[in-house]
Amino acid sequence: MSVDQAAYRPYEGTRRPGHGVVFAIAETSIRRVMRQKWIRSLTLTIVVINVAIGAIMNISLNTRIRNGMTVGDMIENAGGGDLDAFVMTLRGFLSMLYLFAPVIAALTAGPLIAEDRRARALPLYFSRPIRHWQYVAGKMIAAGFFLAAMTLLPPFAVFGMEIANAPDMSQVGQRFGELLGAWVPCVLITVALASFSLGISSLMDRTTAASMLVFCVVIFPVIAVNAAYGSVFTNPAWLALDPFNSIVRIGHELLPPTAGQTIDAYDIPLANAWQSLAGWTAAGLLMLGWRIRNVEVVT
Amino acid sequence: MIVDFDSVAKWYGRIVGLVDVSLQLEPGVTGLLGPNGAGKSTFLKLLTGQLAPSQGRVEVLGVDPFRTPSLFRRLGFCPEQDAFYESMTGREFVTYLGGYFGMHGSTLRGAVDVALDRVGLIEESDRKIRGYSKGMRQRIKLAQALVHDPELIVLDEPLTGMDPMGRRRTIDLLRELGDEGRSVLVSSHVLHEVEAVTSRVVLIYQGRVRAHGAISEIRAFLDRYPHRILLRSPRARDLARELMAGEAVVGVRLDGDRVHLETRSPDELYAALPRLVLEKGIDIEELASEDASLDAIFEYLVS
Amino acid sequence: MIPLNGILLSARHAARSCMRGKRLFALLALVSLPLILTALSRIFDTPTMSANEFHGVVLMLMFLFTVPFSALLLGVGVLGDELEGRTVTYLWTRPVGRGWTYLGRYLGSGFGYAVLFVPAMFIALHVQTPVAALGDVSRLRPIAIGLGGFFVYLALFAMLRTLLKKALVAGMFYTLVVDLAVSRMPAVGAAKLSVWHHMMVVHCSAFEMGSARVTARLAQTIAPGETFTTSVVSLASIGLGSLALGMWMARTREYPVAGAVA
Repeated sequence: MSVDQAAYRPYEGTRRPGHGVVFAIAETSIRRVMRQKWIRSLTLTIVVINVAIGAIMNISLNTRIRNGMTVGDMIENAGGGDLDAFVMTLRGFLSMLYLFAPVIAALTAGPLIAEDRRARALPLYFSRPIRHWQYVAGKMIAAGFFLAAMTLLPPFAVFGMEIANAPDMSQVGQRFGELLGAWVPCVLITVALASFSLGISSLMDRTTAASMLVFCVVIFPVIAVNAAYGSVFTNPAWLALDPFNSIVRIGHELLPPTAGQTIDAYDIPLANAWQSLAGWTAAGLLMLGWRIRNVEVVT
Repeated sequence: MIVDFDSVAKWYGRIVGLVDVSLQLEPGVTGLLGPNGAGKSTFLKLLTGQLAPSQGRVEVLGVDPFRTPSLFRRLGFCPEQDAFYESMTGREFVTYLGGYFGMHGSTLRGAVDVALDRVGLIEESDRKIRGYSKGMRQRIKLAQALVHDPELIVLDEPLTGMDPMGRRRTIDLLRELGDEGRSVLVSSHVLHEVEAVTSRVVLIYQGRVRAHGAISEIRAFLDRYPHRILLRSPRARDLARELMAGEAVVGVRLDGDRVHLETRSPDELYAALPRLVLEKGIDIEELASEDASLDAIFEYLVS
Repeated sequence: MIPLNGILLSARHAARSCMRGKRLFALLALVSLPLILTALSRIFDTPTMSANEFHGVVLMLMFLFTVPFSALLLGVGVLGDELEGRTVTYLWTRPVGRGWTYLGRYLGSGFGYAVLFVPAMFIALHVQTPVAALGDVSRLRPIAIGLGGFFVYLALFAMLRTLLKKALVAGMFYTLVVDLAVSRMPAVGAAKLSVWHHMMVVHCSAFEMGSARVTARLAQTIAPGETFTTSVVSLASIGLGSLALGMWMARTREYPVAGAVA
């Protein structure tokens, strides 16, 4: 064999399609996160707790309603009217998202790009035929995976229980529509938090700092609005700064009306709620665009 | 005796780091050898008080290193990991860590200068560590281990990442430290480098101490393995025939003008060689032992 | 014998770390963000709000956001920075007990933060204050409460790091669940776990709150029998207990550092 014959030849076999790269990056990122036993335990615990709370709330509300009792102690502005336990459970779930979604976003999505920066892996990625958008898309899927699990599974589990206990199948369509009404805000908050968390992650090269920064920035509006609305802020549009208020407001539009929900969410103009979520998403994408596009492969 | 391990075992959950290690080290320069994952780092961490033994007792300079921080006035440790306060200059780094020994002012400055000079970083000492090369980073680690003039110096893979000149310089430094009467324990998986520093070694493999002592003593114990000797002669075939006639040689292999011999009685063989040269007229141009090196010993012990 | 030299060295190093790079930026953002946000809202939303109300809300944001989150950032770093940077080996091989080194880093982090927090709070509490009232010492009292609360939080989060590798997670859940959610429930025991709750009890018991809305809300979470003294004692217990436990864990626990990267 001559030297030419023994020399390097470029790979001419089958190649994965472009979207295969995206899923490969997503899969790798998800596996790396899932490899950490404590994250698996934490996500499972949160899902189980949410399912349990949802189930208990649904059953409890259903029982009270069947017994003709009002639920004034549990929900403000109860006072009769049309009480639907399943819808109230979904609303309750949306209003509780702020308790765990920031933590999950900070811990699962926050480190995704920061750890690549720390390990100096970005040049390794971009010295291969991987486009910047493919990298970002793959990371976005990974970031959204855990948030989606946290937010979509519990309502689905309660939906399953509701259908299982239903006297007949006539309500399945209606209940599924209500489930979708709760899922849409969940998907919106997933996209917003995933995008924003990744944007922050792209700025940092330490995973702890990235997680901390994501958490602080996401939680600040929750606290600020809570502390200052009514005194410092009187314009309801300010409430939309808190993305969780925004999704509760959107959920209010999509879910059928029922008595008893937090007043504050109703004060937000719907347009502001959408703008808020779009703003969080856009901020993340801008940060990603700025940081990832500027990655140079220096040899 | 500077180090005393008495039936020491260390495990991390289900992973065993060290098993039943009983060992005493005398003052002087000692090499700690073993492949990656053998247990060298665990051994050194126990010795430097970063870990406590799961079983058994560890004493260094007569005290328990895990519970006696004052031991570190007499012990200097150069760790393996490449970890620094990157925003500090080399001088600041050594000064900060040197301050913990109670030195300050001109005493501390003087000690830092001496340490930096010893490792050859005096001129680069005012640069930030993040701008240092790998070899410089290794040397600054060594400097912080020497700044307080310790009597026992423990070094975990000190030659990693160094260029040949840096290695040479560090090896010379380690020899100097030994000549000054300090005790030095240096761990490595690069056998010939340890051989260049000391003739006393501890061999660790799979969490156990396989051998310790002088290399030549260890070799002598390996009786089951015949000694391998290389001879080079223009009349290699004749030489081989003559040597095979004797009882000292148990195996011969010819390779051009080289004769590779195996013998269980090297002394007897060496005694026979002058007779062959004088009586048979067979010139011997080279004579070397192929397995008195550490590589060979290690291979025997871990095979 | 207390190794003062070692404590001072580690304190100085920790304080300098606060004042460097991205950490400094993060702390500055934390201390100034509530002030900026409130100032912006004054400009764009409610120009007629009284100075007292303005101060009341700034205090709320400082106590509910700035203080606990700064303490979380710095607290997990008391030991965490050295462990994650793998430089803890150098500290553990110095002739200073680990507990004392830990104490030094705790004090240094606290001092470094105080250098940022005190001026920021001072400015916040004197914005829009009539010149004649600038000498009113009572305006400085919330600074003391905020700083005291910070040291308690710092001890708590630093102690968590000595126990848990994922102390950041535990700290996040503490601030979310205990401080934000539980402390708002009728105070039958549950709110007593919250450092923030005790800070507000101390503040409300001793001084007037600026914002009527804040006072009314807080009044709902104060249990009968909770006074200035009981809350100070609770804060001291949480702080000193956490500090002592953290020092003991640092002294007795192993913190193995992983091997070389390259």
